[in-house]
Order: sequence, then C-alpha cells, then structure tokens
Amino acid sequence: MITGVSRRTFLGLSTAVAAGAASTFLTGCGSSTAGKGEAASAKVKLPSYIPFTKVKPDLAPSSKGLSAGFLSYPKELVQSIAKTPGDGSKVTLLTEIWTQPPLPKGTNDYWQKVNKELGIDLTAILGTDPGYEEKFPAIVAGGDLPDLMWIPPNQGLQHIAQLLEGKCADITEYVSGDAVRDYPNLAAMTPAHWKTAVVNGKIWGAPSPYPALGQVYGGNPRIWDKADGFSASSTDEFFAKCKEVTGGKVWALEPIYSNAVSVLSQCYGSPNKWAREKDGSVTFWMESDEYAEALNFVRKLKKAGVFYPGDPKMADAYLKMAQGSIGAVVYANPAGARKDTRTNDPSLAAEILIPFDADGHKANAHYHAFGTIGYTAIKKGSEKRVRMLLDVLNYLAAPFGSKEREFLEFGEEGSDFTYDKQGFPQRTKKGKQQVEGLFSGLTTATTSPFVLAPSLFPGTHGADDVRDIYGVEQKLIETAIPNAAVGHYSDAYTQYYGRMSTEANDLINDIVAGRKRMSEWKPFWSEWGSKGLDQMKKQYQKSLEQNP
Amino acid sequence: MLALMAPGLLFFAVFFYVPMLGNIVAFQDYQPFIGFKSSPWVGLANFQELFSDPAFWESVRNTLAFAALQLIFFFPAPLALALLINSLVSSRVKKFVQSVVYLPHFISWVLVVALFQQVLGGAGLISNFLRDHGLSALDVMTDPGTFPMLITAQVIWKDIGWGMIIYLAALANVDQSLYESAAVDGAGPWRRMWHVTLPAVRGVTIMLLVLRLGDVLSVGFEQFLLQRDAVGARASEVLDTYVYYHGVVYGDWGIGAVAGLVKGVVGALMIWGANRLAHAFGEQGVYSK
Amino acid sequence: MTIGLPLLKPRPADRRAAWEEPPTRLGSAAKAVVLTVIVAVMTLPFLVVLSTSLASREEVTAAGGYVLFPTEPTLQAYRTILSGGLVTRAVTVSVLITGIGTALSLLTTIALAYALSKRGVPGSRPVLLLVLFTLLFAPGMIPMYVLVKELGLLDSYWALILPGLVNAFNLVVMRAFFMNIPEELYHAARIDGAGDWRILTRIVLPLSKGVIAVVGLFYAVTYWNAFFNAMLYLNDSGKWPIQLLLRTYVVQNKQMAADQLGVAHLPPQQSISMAVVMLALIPILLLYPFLQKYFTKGVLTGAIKG
Repeated sequence: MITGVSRRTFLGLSTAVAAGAASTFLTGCGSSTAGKGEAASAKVKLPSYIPFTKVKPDLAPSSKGLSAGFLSYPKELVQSIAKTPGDGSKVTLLTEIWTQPPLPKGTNDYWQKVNKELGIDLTAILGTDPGYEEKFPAIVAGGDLPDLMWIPPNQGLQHIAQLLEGKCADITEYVSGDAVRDYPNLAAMTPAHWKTAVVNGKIWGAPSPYPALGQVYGGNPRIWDKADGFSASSTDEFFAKCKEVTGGKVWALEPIYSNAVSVLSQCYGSPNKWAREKDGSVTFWMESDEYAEALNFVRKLKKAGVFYPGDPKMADAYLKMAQGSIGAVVYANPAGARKDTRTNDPSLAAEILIPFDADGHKANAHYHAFGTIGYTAIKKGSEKRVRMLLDVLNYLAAPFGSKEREFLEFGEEGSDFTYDKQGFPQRTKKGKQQVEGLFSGLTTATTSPFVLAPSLFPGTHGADDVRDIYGVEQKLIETAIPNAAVGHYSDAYTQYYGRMSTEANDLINDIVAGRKRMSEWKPFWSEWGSKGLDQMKKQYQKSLEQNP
Repeated sequence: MLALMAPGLLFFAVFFYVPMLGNIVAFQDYQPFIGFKSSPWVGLANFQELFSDPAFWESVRNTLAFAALQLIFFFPAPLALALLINSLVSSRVKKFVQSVVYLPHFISWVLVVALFQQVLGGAGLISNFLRDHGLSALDVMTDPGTFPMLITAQVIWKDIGWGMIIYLAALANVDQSLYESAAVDGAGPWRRMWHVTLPAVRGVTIMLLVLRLGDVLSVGFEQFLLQRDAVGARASEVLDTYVYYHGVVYGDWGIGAVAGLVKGVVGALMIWGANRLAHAFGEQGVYSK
Repeated sequence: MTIGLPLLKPRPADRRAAWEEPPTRLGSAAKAVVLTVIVAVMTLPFLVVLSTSLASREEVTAAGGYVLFPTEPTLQAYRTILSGGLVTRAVTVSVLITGIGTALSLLTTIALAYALSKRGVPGSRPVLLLVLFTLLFAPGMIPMYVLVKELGLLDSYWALILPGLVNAFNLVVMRAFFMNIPEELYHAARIDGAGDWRILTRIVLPLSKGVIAVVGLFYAVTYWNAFFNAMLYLNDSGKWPIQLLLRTYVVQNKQMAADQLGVAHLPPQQSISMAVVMLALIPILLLYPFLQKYFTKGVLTGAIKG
C-alpha cells in the first residue's frame, strides 16, 4: 500500500494512529484501495465515440468540444430509442434541480407520461441549491441508497471512490469500447465526457455533459466601445482600456478577484488546473510562474482602481453590467455570457474576451475543468437491473432533434408546449408547472452533449447569437488546453484539495486587496507541497504514466 | 408533576440525547457510507489536529473579540430600546414603533449585506455622494480594521427589535402602582426608572446575559461567510465558519464534531461561572444553587 | 378566598397618569428625533425591497439592482411566483406546521417549565441541567437524519415539528417568568386545595400571557422560517413548506449552477428575489398585532404583593 495515507501523518501525529486508521479504513470498505485505484484508473478502455448523425446540425460539432449549432428547429424529429427502456419497476433518482420544483407525482400528468415512456415508476429526490452537499452524505449515511444518484465533482462530496466501490455498480463491461453501442445515445458522449465517470479504473455512470469551454470574461459592448471594443493584444493595452472605461460611476471589472486571476491566467498561458510537463511530472497551475504573473497583474489592476468597489461575493454583478456600471463579468462559458445579457436586456449582446498573449507568453484557453457537471452512478444490483437503469439513462441522453428529447424537455404538444413563430417549442403555463422542474432534475442526471440553438437566447437575435458564440468557441478551441487530471484519481486530492483551494482563495483575495504581499504567494505553495500538494502531484503523475 | 414533565423529557431524550451519541465521530475518521459502527477509531487525533492548527486558534481569537463587542454594544441595546419605547405615552406610536423595529430580524443575511453595500459600499449611496463632491469614497465594507464595528452594527440593526420583545414582556409585568407610589414619594422619572423599572427587568437581563455567555463561541455564521472575501479570512474567520469549512466543505466530520464539543464545554464553563457570579450578587441566574 | 385573577391595574392607555410630570420640551424632542431615525433606518430597506419587487425587469436593469420609486408598479414578479403551481399548497403546509407546531411546542414547554419552576420538586435541578446542556451542544446533521429515518418520519410532516419541539432557551425564559409569580399566590391556592393542574391553568397561565405570547412568537417564527429540515427530510416536493419553495426562486450563482445552460438557469431576476422576501415575510407579520397587546397592556402581578 503506497498511498493509503491518512491525512494525519502529514500533521506530524503519531504514525501508529495513522497506520491504524488507514488499515481499519481499508477493511471497512472492502476491496477498495485508493492506491490500486490510481494504477487501475489508467487502464480502462473508454466507450467508443459514436456521434448521433440522424439529425444534421447547421454548424458541425467537433470531437475537440466545439458545440453543434442549430439555426432553426429541426423540422423532422427522429426517433432515437427503439423500445421502452424500463421494466415497470420502481426507480429512485437523487438529483438536483436548478428551477422551481415540479408538481408532485400524484398531480403531475407529465410525470405520469415520463413513467409511461420510460417504463418505470420514478421517484425523484430533488435536492436544491444550496443543500445537495448536505443531503447527499445524509442519504448515504441513512443506508438506503437511491437507484440512480448524481455525483457532482465540485460540491465537496468526499470519499466518493470508496462509496462507489462499496455500493455502486461497475458498468465498465457494459459500456467500455464498442459495448456502448447497446446505448446509442450514451455513445454520443465524447471520451472527455466519460473520463469524469472513471474512478479506480472503472466506469461508474453516465456523464452529465456541460459546455466544453470554461470561464471567460463577457463584456458590455456599450461600455467597451469607447475603448475600441472588448479585446486586447497585450497586457498594456488591456490595462489601458480598463483605465479608459473606468470613471464616474463606471468600473471596468467585477470585483471577484479569484475569477479575474483564473481568466487572465489564460493570457499568460497558465496550465488548466493540472498539467503534465515534458519530463512527465505534474504541476498545479497556481504554483506556476504564469499564474503568479497573472495574479500580480490583477493586483496592478486593483491598484489602478478598475475593479468595481464592491463585495467580492456580490450576486448582482450581472445586473450592474447590464445597467452599465460594470464593464465585464466572468461567466462559466461563452454561451452563458450571451444568454445572461440577452435575458437582462434583449438588445445587449455580451462580447467575449479572447485571451491575448501577455508579457511574452503564449495565451491559451481553458476547457471547463470537469468537461461535465458530474455523472450519475447506479446502485449495485443484478446485471439485468443495472442494464435496465442504463437503458433509462440512455433515454435521458436523447439528442437535440429527437422525439424523445422534445418530449423530455417540453412534454406533450398542445397541453405542455406549443411551437412559437420561429418553430421552437415553448412551454405553456401547465408545462412550466409540470415539466420544467422535473426536466431540470432529469437533465442534471444525464443529458445529450450541449448544443447551441437560437431558443437559448432571449430576444430576436437567436440565430446571430448561435453564429457568434460558435465563432467564439472556434477561436477559443484553437488554443484550448485540457485539465490533465480529468479521468485520473488522487486520494490526496480528495483529502486536501478543499482546504488547499479555500486557503489559496483567501490568499488571492488578500494579495489583490493589498492585505498581503505578492512575496507571500510562492512560500504558500512550497509549504503546501509538504502538506499534500506533492502527494497529489505524485499520484496524478503515476496515473498519467500508465496512460499517457 | 411527572405527567407535566414527561413529554418535554421524552423530547430531549429522543431528539437530543440519542443523536448526541453521534458525536462519537469526534474520535473517528468518520465516513458517512461506512457508518458509525465501522468508521475507524482514531483516539484523540482529531483533538490534536484541531488544537495544533493555528487557523483554529485564530478563529477562536476572532470569535472572542466579536463576542466581546457584541456583549458591550449589542447586548444592552434591546433593553435600552425597550425602555425608550416603554416611556412613550401614546400607545399608537408605541405599537407602531414596536412593529417596525423588529422587521429586520426577518431579512436574510444575504440581503442585509447587500443592503449595507447599497448604502456604505464603495459604490453605495454615501460613496457616490462623496465622489460627486470630489471627496474620496468610503471603504468600511472592505476594511478589516473597521470590520468588527461593521459586524456589530449589522447585528444591532438586524436584531435590536427582536431582542427587545422579551424585555417588553418583562416590563409589561411591572405594577403601575409602584410608579405611582414612587412619584408620590417625590421620585423623578430617572429615579423611577432606577428604582422601579430596572429592578423589574434585572432578573431577565441577568438570565439572558448568562445564557449569552454560554453561547460566547457563537457569533454568527452566514454574516461572516458572506463577507469573508471582502475583508479576508484573517479578519473574518470565526469558529462557526471554521467548523463549516472542515465539516461540510472538506468533509472532515470528526473535526467538526470536536469543535462542537469544545464549544459546548467552554459554554458550560461560562454558564457555570456566570451563574455562580449571579448567585454571589444575590441573583437567580439561570438555575438556582 | 377564591382563586381567580388577582387585582390588576393595567396602565391607562394613551393618558398620562396624574402623578406623572409633564414632559420637558427638550426630552420630547430628543425622543422624537431618536425614534424617527430608528424607524427610518428600520423601514427604508423594506421600502426598497417592496419597491424593487414591484418594478419591471427593464427598470431593475436600468437601476442596476434596487429601485426606490418604480414608475410603473407591476405585480409581474408576484404573478410569476404564484403561477408556480405549488405555492398555495406550500403556504397551507407552512401555516399548518406553524400553527400545530407552535401549539404543541407551547404545551410541552409550558408543562415542563412549570414543573421546573416549582421549588422542591424532586429531581428538578438535574433535569434543568440536562435541559441547559442541550443549549450548549448540538447533535450533528447526520445522526439527526439517521434518527428521523429510523423513526419512519422521512417524508412526514412530523419531521418538521418533532425535531424542534422544545427549545431550551424558550423553556428557560418561560421558567424564569413563572418563577416571578409570587409564592403567596401558590400558598393561597394550596390552602384552597387546588392541585397542580388547577394552579397552572387558573393562576400561572393567566398571569403569564406576556411570556406565552413572546415564546409563542419565537416558536411560530422558527417554524415559519425553517427550511433546512424540510430540505433534508422531505423528498416529496408536494410537501414542501413555503420557505423551501421560495428558496428555489433565489438560487444563487454557486460556481456551477450559474450557467447550467441546458436547464435555463440564470441568476434570479431581482424583482422576483425581492417578491420572495415580501411573500416570506407578510404572513408572519400578520401575527404580530394579535400578540402585541399581551406585551403592551400588561398583566400585573405586583399588585398583590403591595
């Protein structure tokens, strides 16, 4: 056992205690050993990538993560599922909703229709935000696991590997390689999608896809026009433009400093979270010189007074941008930026900042750290039951342009939705009450890969928005780099990363605000080296070596 | 008498003392999916880890500083307000003021912070006014130096009216004829307050003070979490945010439980001490000798 | 002697007593200024919340967040929330939970507080200490969940009431008020042969309307505002109380939630967020006037002492 290390050894406590803890721990969860996990993680054969071809998008997707683009709603919907997936049994799904909850099963016609279509009796446990990170461990501790459970990577859920090994079904043999052909809608997921669902060398569930590209600055063109647009070719130019638009009651940037550093670090060519160096070693972006330079640049921007003088946790920066007192805000991805400004003001189209080469570095873009918003794992059971549940997930992953997808997202024409002038389905009041909430939960569990469609963007410029954002994605993808650690597992990561990133965030805020010095940044990282970071890097390196 | 006690006792036994057993995770490396029975025992390792973490001690220091400020400035505020309102003659004005001042209690911390930003923030009302007049803007929402004052002001604003209600109930129990006889004896308004009103609320006040001291290591949670990035962790980390990060964010259940136990023991000592002090001054305190 | 309400002398409403001296001008002016400032500082934020909840999306965008004077007030935000389908049901749930929960909590608390307020009841001191202990420590979330599950209360409304049935703080406050009731009254009652139950209902309760109103309000507000237990213990959204439901309208931008495009999630519309605040607030505010009289008029116990 090389890496079955308890957190406590690092804190200089009695090794006897630590060793005792570790060994009991391993007995406690049966066959799972995190140490073996990293080695095995690497060897898994991912499901074959077989894109859905029956519906042809106007703008083609790419395996590199470029979204498919539709300029209109497909006229002929196709059938993507041959037979009812379920066997009439009860299925419980633990998931999270991002909207209002649906009417309960008893009074919800759409829910009944979903049951009929899927051939199951669905009980949905709908977590809310916030709350999922509490509800999930409580349900796990309660012992009765749901049949399907959504596992997000970034909500602080710990020791997932042990949970999976102990209680969940290993679906590797059902989906690995060409076996995934049994589940054609799931086969349309890219290898990057599947990598999130790999732990300990096994595949544990259906990914929940998300736009592939990560954080970007979205700018209000009305503000940046006077500085010749929201773009730059050097840090000096960006700095000057920020200064230029700041004045009176207008500030160039929102005050969420950690996001500013992470977006601008792309200009300095910083790694995307974890990177593999030529000599095989693994590095963490915040340790890199590039990241430190970006941090220093953000500190300079702060000194120049271009950040909105508000709360770094402000929730209404988006509104302030639409209103015109903030120039640019960090969004999760380009499509989200455009969608948000169109929602607040249909005549406003966010401009996306394409990373520029900063101070002699070559800029790159970053893929979304996880490529997905997690995956949905399946409770242990007979092969028949697990395959049935996979069939259900396969249905949920029905692609844009299929009858199943339209049904899932909108329900039944006439009662739940009607087609608008441009031919897109729009939910009726009944659809909003019955479909919206449940679909939100279903789509969190798993869904088809993200597509750009005009209906995404409020207002009348939908098709233009699709083209624009598609164009932005093309540009970003030219330089986009992945996170090398996706699909690799580190025991140390689950133990220390939460604390490390909280402390790093605190330090970023302190340095940018001038409460601490830039010179404290590097020592912080050399200290973290021995507190767990070295361990994470070593474990990732080992895993990456076995699967370059 | 036993019949009267039974439902309450049953409640505390079932919904407090039984789940309290779960605090054994303080001595475990607890994993929800393994359960209490099989999670590995680690002895006092969680305690050692907590006590050897400088961040823990920093959070304790901050907590005590905030608690002291709250005791000095926030604790007497509701009583003062209750006395002020009690001295009003018109019952209509009285009712109106009463029902207004307790409103902020119902506002979530998210909104409280947002509203304070709206007024005191760097782009808030006052700052914009100052800027328009060529002066430099306010910095109180992001200045770690003034943060303790800001926090205390927010608490006072939010809960002065709510805290007042208990005192109003106590003041309502004061016999008006006592005032009358005091007045007849020639006591002015201040002397009447000193000799009639204050003695009437002294018992309640001391009891509330003892209870507050028992809770000295809780000064709030959301309020600090929300403003952490604005002033930095150094100035804003309190015990409850520390526990939140360890227990929920880092999934370190044992540490969370240990911190909870430490808090309880400190609270118990405070209550015991404060109560003895109250007895020494001839007061009831929370429990009798 | 008959047991009944002692002689009470309520404060004369709205009139200065003969023995009270006329107020000085300076004093009245100072009071007026202080109170006006307090009232303004406490109410203005509510006006902002109310106004913003009545503003249109365009107006909110134009104002960059908060609106003080909506030019064309609209109920759109309220309509959006009320058309959600579950709101009526959730309000009913909350009202029932608050009503039944408060009643049960008061009964249990009064009974235990009364028992603990009497001197000489065997075992009352250790029991009181056991109760105080619950103020200091807290069972963790997971043990509570496991307990609620083992009791079969998951997805039951009882899971919203039972875990918080008695609050030790409220209990201690109530006990303190009970203890202030003069011993003489108990003695008189005992001589008349009254039992505990009779003393409680005929003497203690009538003399304690103020504290009962206060503790009742504390319980009611706690039940009304609670969402965490519902989030944890209720899977069926048809059973959700209003606070949990309303929270789904103000989901904030946690890093991932912010732009989950597939499900059309966006930061909430400001006017909706503010309408949520108002909707959560109004019903509980309606309670206050009913209770207020119990702590302004006053029930005087001192009369019998003097």
